[in-house]
Amino acid sequence: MLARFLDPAVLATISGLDLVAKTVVEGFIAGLHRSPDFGFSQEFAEYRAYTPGDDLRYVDWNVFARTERCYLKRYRGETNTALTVLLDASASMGFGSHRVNKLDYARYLAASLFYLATRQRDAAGLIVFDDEVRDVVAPSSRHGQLSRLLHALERAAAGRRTDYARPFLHLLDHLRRRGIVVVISDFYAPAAEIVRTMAPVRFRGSELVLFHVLDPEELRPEFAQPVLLVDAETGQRMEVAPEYARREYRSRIEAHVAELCGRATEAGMDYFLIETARPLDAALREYLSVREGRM
Amino acid sequence: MGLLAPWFLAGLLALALPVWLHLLRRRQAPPREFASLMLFEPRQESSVRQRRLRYLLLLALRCLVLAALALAFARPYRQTAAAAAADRLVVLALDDSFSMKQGDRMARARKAALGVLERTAAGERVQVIAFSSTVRELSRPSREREPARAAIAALQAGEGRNCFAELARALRLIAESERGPVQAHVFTDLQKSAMPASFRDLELPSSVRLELHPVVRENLDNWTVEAVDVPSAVYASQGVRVQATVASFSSQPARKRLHVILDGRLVGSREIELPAGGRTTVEFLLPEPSHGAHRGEVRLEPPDGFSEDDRRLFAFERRDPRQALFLHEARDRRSLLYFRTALEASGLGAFRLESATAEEAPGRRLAQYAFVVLSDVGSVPEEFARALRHYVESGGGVLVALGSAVAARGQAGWPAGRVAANADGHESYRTVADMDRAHPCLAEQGLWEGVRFYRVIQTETGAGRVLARLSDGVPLLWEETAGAGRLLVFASAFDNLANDLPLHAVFVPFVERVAAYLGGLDETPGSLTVGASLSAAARGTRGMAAEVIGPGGDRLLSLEEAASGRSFPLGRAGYYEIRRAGGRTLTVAANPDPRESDLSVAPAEMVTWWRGGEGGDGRAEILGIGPARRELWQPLLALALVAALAESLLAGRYLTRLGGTA
Repeated sequence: MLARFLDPAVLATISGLDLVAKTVVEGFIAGLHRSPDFGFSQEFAEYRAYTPGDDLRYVDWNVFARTERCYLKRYRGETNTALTVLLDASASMGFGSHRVNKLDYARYLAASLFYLATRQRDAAGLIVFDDEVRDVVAPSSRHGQLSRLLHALERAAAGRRTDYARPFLHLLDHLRRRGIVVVISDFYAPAAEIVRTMAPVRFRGSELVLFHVLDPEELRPEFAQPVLLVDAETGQRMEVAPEYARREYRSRIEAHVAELCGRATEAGMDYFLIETARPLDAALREYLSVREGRM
Repeated sequence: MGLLAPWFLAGLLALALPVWLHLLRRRQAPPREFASLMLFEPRQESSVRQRRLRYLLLLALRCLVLAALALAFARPYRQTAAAAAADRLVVLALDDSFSMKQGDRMARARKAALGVLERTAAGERVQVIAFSSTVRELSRPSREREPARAAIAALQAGEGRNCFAELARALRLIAESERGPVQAHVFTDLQKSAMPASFRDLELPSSVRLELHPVVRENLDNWTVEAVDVPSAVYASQGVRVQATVASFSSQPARKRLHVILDGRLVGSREIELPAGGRTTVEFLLPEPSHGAHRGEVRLEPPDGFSEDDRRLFAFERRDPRQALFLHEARDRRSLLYFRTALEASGLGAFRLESATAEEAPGRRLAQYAFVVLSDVGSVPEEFARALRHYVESGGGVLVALGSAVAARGQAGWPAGRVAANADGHESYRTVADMDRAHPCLAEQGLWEGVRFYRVIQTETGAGRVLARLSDGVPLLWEETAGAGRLLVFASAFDNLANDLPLHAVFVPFVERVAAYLGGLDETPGSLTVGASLSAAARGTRGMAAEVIGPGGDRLLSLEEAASGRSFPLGRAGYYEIRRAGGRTLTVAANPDPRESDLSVAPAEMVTWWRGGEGGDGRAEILGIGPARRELWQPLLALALVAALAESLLAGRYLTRLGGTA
């Protein structure tokens, strides 16, 4: 029953990103046996012997009382992780063949991630960009951060062209600690250029996750007759025959996805392709399952 | 290979239309936003594929239809001379019209034809035809030369009129019956007057190659008796007026003497001056002839280079006037007065009008009358009505005029016809609105527009042919069919009360023509042109025996033809004697067509054009005449038709598919 409500078209009827995020996250968490590891966690992981310099706050005094030895209690995600979402708000993200366009879907996705991170007391931040950095919410785990993030998401609107260089430069300038950087975009740029632009983030020790959000029509366009297509970002016009869209374009988009996936994986990034017609919780569940398995 | 009308190849430009439709036409689809065109190849492929040749087979068929049509109209041909030589038919056409009697024209034509005959190849078939106003086959197509040689040698000039259009028509028929090419050699004096008004009548199919062999090169001065105007029947006791027209076909004036010979005796002679290229009309008044048929001729002397046309024959008959019966009501004398006066004033003289009242009518023997007039007769005794019907059905003529007596009785006396309720006159007058000028009674008459009709009796016209209508559509004059005779009904009277027709100038010619029509005076002229047809039987006696004696004293009709009284052509000049049933004999003179006397040769440029230019190929190009050419337009049209059918089927399938998709 819940899955039916998490259909993107249904999510679009829910007013308020906070409610959307809560609905999504609570839904899929309820279906998991164990909470996902997404940064800090209150769940015990292991004990480690104390070494000078360790923070005394994490010493398990109960163990010390019984054994007179100092042990530190380790939890999952203990590495002070911060979640930074880079949301592509270029014009192409405004495209949608059904009620939920890519930007809406990306907002739901980002909101869900923020909710999840906040629920685990991770710091979360947001950078909205197109060819420039449009909005920035610095990562923080303070109270009220979720509201700030969701407001920023609400403000995000489809802008102009995409330029990955500027938001990543901005990110690199402000990246102070290791964390998880999530990029939500339709990635209309050469795969090599995308990976080359984002690779420095990975070099800083942060994990990089690419959410490739595409509309079903972008993946499998079906034109009954020749159409005059207009590029949402450049305004370029081109007549496209149904046969071309059915055959060559599909092979090209599949090749683009495959290349991006391959190059990202090679560069140590996580890559997930998400169709906007797909239920959001299902997509998140798959992503978290994969991450959990890898860890 | 070649093209007879290459300018039609411009039609190939129409091929651009289907190409445009299939290849270049841009879809006017509304623009549609898409996320990114990054993955759509910016080169031509995606868009050109939209413009690609849609439905290549359909495009090919459409182009094929247009190309085949354009090529067919361009009339492509291929030379098949070698293959067709064995099938070639050589037609030797000799002009035997009247003008060929001049000098040795006919002998020269025969000699030239024999020369061509000797030069024909052994395998070729040869046919000999003679042409004037008609074309006659003198020998069948054959590889034997002797029948053709004999036919040429025996051919003599006749009295017909030359007509090149008739020759061209015959050659077209020969070409239709022949599979192979036809080589036509024409031996003629190339009279200018024989050329048709339209060059199109000279057109020949492409399989016919024409070669002209003129037997004369220059014009010849000639004078002729062009026409003789003599009435075919003479009734008056005074003399006979003969009017002769002499024509000059010469550039020089001439002085000639004209003689009139009647029944072998010279009855008139006059010196005349003829202007160059002009005409002179001379009138002779002959003394009163005796009763019966007379034969005469007008002769021009001294003879010129073409003496055969220096005389013209004529014939007439001296007859007694025939009786005509005018029936009227006893109180109506006015109609008789006007009708009789008009008939006498016409100068016709062929009828003597006898009047009687309706009560006196039964005692008359109608067969003795040329025609009968029933002038506003309200009632007719039944026995006389039967006699009238029999009279008409036997070939007699009756004119019925309807007036106040008929209106008072409510029904016409004869033929019985109910008077319509609204027919009893109008306070205002009506005029004639519509007349059948083609009818002999109304032809060449003056205006009837001024005639006022106050009383018109409207009866049932039945299946009769309406000849005149009034302004309100009421029939005024109509003719009813009644056996072999003629029955005219005039819906008004001649009393100058029902209308004012008797006071108008048109009344006299109307009465004259009605009398001539009903009395049968329009039947046979005394002089005709050779080639005309003449009915052996008189009107109303069709199917009865008649005998025709030709100019040579021979009987022209077989026993069966004579028994049926059929028409016969006047093939020779001279006197024709027609002996009809009842012992009546008619003499008709036949003369050659006067246009044959104009010996002017067709202009050089016209001859050159007809011969096909200096080299003989120019006209062939124009008319499509060539040596053994086989035109290809028919298979091309067939190809276009097949392609069009295939295109229709294919397009239908595509449309069905598109409809299903939508």
